[in-house]
Amino acid sequence: MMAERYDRQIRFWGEHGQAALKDCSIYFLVVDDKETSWRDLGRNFFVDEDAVFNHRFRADTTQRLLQELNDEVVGYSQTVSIDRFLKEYSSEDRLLPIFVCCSLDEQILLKTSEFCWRHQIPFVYAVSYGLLGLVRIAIPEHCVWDAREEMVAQELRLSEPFEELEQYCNNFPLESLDDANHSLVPYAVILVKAFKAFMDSHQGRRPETREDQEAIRLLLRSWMRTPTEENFMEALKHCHFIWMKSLAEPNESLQSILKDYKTEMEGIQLQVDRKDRNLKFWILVAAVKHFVIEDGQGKLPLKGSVPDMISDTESFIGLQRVYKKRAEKEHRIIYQRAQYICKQVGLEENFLSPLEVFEFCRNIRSIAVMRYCSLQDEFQNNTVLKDALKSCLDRNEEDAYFYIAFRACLQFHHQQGHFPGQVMNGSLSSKEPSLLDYEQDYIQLAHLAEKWCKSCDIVKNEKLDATLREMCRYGGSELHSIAALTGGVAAQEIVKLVTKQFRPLSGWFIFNGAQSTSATVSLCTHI
Amino acid sequence: MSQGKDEGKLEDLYLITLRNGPFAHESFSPSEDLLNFLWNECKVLVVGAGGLGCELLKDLALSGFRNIEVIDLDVVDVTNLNRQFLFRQQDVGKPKAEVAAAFIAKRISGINIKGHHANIYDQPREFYKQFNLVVAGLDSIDARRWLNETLIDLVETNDDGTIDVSTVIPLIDGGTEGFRGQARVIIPKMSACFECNLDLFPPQISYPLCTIANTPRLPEHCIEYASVILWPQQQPFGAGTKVDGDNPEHVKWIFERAQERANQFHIQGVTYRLSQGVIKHIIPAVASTNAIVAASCANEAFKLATYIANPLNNYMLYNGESGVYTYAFETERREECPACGRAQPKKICVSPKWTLADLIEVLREDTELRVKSPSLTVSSRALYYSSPASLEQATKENLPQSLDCLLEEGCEIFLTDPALPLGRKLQIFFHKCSKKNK
Ligand SMILES: [Zn+2]
Repeated sequence: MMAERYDRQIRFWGEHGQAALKDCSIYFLVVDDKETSWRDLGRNFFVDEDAVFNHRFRADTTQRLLQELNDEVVGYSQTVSIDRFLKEYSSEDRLLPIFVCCSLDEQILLKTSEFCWRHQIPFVYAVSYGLLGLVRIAIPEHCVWDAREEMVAQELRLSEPFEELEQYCNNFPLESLDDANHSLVPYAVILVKAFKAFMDSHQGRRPETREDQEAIRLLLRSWMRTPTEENFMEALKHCHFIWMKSLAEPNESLQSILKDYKTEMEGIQLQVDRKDRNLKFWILVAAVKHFVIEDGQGKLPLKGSVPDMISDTESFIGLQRVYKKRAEKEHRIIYQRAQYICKQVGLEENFLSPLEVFEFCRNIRSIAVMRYCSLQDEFQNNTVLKDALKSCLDRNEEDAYFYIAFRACLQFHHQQGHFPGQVMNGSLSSKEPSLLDYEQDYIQLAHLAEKWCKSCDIVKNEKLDATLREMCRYGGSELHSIAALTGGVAAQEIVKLVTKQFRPLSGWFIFNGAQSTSATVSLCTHI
Repeated sequence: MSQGKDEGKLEDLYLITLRNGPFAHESFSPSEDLLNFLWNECKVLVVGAGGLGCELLKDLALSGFRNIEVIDLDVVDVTNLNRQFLFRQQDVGKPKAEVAAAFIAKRISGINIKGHHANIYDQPREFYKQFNLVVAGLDSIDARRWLNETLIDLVETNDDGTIDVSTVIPLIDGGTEGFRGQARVIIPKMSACFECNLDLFPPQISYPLCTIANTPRLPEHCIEYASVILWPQQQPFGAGTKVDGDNPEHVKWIFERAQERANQFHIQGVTYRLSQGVIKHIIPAVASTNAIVAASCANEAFKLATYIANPLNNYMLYNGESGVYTYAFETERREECPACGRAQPKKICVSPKWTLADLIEVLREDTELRVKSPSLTVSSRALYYSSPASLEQATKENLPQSLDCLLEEGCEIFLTDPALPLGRKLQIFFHKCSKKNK
């Protein structure tokens, strides 16, 4: 029954993704110390009139109405200030899996993010400001177990056939097969044969030049019984696998992950002592690294799956079996290596389950490590930020100006106690034009932005001026559609952080709702 | 709490509509009239009360739209509950449009919202005519094409041949799949329409029949075998009963037969979930993408209704699979678009010896037309009507006739289909060697 409820998303991130969400989201907690106002009713769907009439706290009301959505989840609310919440927090009685901050107060942003950084809690910041929406992720290190980006077909080792594959290919004597069977030989087998034939006729040399490639194509064509034999057409379509740089070996980014200090014994021991949240990931990477060096002759473990190709059932299933068996053999070696590492650093033998290890091996080509820049560093004018903004503007992602304008607004608010162009509560009802005028605030905001630009080596231009004026027009208002979009992006990123699937946002996401465009300010090193 | 109820609720919307800014539309003029228009005049239709529809209703209601109608033929299913947040367990089996409208009305006081538990195809022109804006959150390409053409059909021209802008109803269309989605703004007859860029939505690829029948390799092949080959042979739920992916008994039958076939061929991976997915062509859906795409559509609706900023021109792609990425661009209007342009009759080459049934099969397989049950007339003489049953009965005797007996070379045929309110003109050419594409 309950699996049915989640059917449409399980189809996307799988049963294990769903299990990760379930482990994490058994509860949610809303912290807010304000009473519900009429203005909240114009912004938030999860408050009601009853709450305003009865002076109920926003946190309590939102918790109650959200709770209705799913009774498998338990909601809590705390009507305390964020300062008090942080002071009283103890990871002993309640571990926070994710922390989301939605405050436009610079001090609260910095305080909460610093707190999360210290406790290794993934931090997500999501706010909307007029037609502008912003999301930022910060965590010292996030490890992606499956970025879901790889291409399966590329790792069939067709130009480095392992023993079992070569033996299997011998079952297909192309010349003596009858026409029907000839047209059902899987292209993987055809390409292994083509590769061998080329090597045999070229003194054991691998195909490299354009002429070599043409020779292989000619060879394949010469084997065809009819000009449209479909399995051979498929082979021709995929024949670049023969000369392409092998994907059996780790690529550059994977190599740098394998080389990371955290894969060394001292590195792992340090993580054990500090109870690092990515310990499992790094033990597995270390195990794979040992496999590549000691067992795999420089090659990564096989994934073990075969893409669909024209073939009769028996040959295809046979091929699947060859790859699967070989992969299982390699994955078992890695499991033993992982167990050995666990023992070395004093962890229990079953710290890693075989299933976890096998899953990791299957996805090894699609792992990633992301190390973010903290908000503290960013706000202290870190050079990383300068470079990030520069590269945005170089790419013509002009919405990066909204980042500058937003930072200036936060600063303005910190100094003045209100947002530029903000109209104080109640005075809007008189709709006095002078109250709506934001010229004074604009001048001050522009001054702040100019100082800010100078420190970041950015030239203040017309586009930035327009952006600043637009921000004054917004006056700290919150439009529901923009808030909903921002919240949606934040929710999606939380799913990625929890399931460890897909690559999360690498810094700030900036949505410009006035022009329906966006930019990403990357504040993260990918390895 | 000195603030009044309505003023408080509208404070954020006032701020943005009472002041001008550099990103506002050139014809924006800040005024209270804008919110008054939203409150009292502007009528919005939301098509679909599913994942996008629920979000849209909430977003539009909180953006100041006060006259909203929603139409959906479906009832609430348990698999909706992970993202369609206006529905609860006790609503399962009730009409989506009605439950959704009632929920919004309960939460947001003073709103005028109506739910129609009905098929969009059955509504008369007058129904669509009454709206200022139509926002669609549909998953079916057919329904989106139909809606697009219906709104194009409503556009009238002045005596001097120019478009009567008062008859133009903008269509905002959203769609999602997994972490991907798109939002677009269509101004009928003025900007690119759904049909202009139909190729952005390629037709579903099906598995070749010979693979399914003779050389299955994947679990999907086994499931297709059970539903496409075994089902019509064995008619397990009575003659003429079609496979219903929502009927658990049907899915179970197919799943079990597929499993038998998979065992026979040593194929692994046939599960109940996969069976249902293959039968129903289920697209994975997650709450966050719906929230993002719907919010973006609602934002465009608000911009179109107030001009506080330039509406999207005219297509925005969203992709959240690697980081968060959006791309806004202008799709071009196709001059020869069969829906909104000046289309010449579509040329169809046939062999004179083909039967009418052959022609209809070719039309059904045409990747540009994408019709399921076409009816054909030639100079107002009926060739074949696919429905209603009485007309089908009266015209089906033409089906086995050869085309040269029924038609003249070069003649114009008019095709109608439930999916295409405007119909299509075809021109028939005889070629002896014409092959039915296989
Ligand atoms: Zn068109």
